[in-house]
Amino acid sequence: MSRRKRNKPAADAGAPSGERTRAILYTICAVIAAAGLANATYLTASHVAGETVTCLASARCSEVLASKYASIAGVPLAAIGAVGYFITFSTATLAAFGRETARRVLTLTIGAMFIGTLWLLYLQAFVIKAFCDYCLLSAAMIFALAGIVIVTPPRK
Amino acid sequence: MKRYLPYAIIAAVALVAAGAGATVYKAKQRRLAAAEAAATANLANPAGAKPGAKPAHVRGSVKAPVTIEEFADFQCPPCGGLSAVVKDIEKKTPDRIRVVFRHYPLKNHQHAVAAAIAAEAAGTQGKFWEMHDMLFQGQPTWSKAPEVQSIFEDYASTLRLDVARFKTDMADENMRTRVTADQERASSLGVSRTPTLFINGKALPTESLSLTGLQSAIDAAAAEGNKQAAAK
Repeated sequence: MSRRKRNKPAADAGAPSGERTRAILYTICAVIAAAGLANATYLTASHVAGETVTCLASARCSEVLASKYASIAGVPLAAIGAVGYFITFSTATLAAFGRETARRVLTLTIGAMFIGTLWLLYLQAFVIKAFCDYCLLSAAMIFALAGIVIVTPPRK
Repeated sequence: MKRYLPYAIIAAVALVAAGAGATVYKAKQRRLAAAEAAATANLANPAGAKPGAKPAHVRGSVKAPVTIEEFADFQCPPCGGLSAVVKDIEKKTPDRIRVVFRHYPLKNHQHAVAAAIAAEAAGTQGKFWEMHDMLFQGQPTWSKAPEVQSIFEDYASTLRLDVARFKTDMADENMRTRVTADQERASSLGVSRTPTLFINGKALPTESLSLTGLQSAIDAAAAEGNKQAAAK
């Protein structure tokens, strides 16, 4: 990443208040993405180990996790989610430190994950007709991330 | 130094995530191995006994003191009746017994092998026991039908299985191999009729195949297990 594109770290004393707000919002994004990464990592490890996960609230969540939609070409969907969350975490962290390119990548990544989440919610509601706790938790996190990216004030 | 801080944070989180994933994976592998070991610990194991299909279909607590190994044929009416009796006992004492199901389709039952394969195919989608129950419940209907494939596919659909995958799995030779492995275990243990039960490795006499007979045998096996545990 070009050094010229880098801003002064937002945490620095004297940073403009808009930049500080953005830094705080991106830090929140990074925290949410880390939680999403933990969720997706747990599901991936369970999928690879071949053990059904312990569902918290929904009795039929194992139907979702054992369905044919739980993997794409042999790759667990949770692993794809883990990669998405890791990219989100990394770019949000860099964005919080003022990296402009990272902000763009973050927006694109969250946009792609948002569309993927809508598709997964459709599958759970209308095709599998069962919901998975972990997937709903992930959807809530993606919606929160999308909300934060939308409300984050643009740089002037 | 501050320039590298975000990269250090990212690297640290990547390491923690990879480590946590590996730890969860190993823990789950250990749990599965322990469950498999516990499920087979109380099985009949005389010299020359064949192991049967691996992993076996097991339900019930890993810590249950009594293991019932059941050799059954989905087309055999007494097997259906006994299945209900076993379920009844399981409901009353859920932590006491563990059930291991083995296929023993009889040659004189036209659709028994197909039913066993249907249960195995449902098992690949995590619904062996649900299909097991459905096959016994629907036994009076499908056992008299000239063709059962469409009936079993209806069952798969009712159980919300991926029917296309179910059809493919039913044609998969591995399903038949599992059924054959169970039949070989049955033969190696001298099983010749269905249902045949082994309770903590001991064959249950045919006259004890009733609610009271089975309950007494379970009580005796649990008491013997307690005695052995106290002696250790």
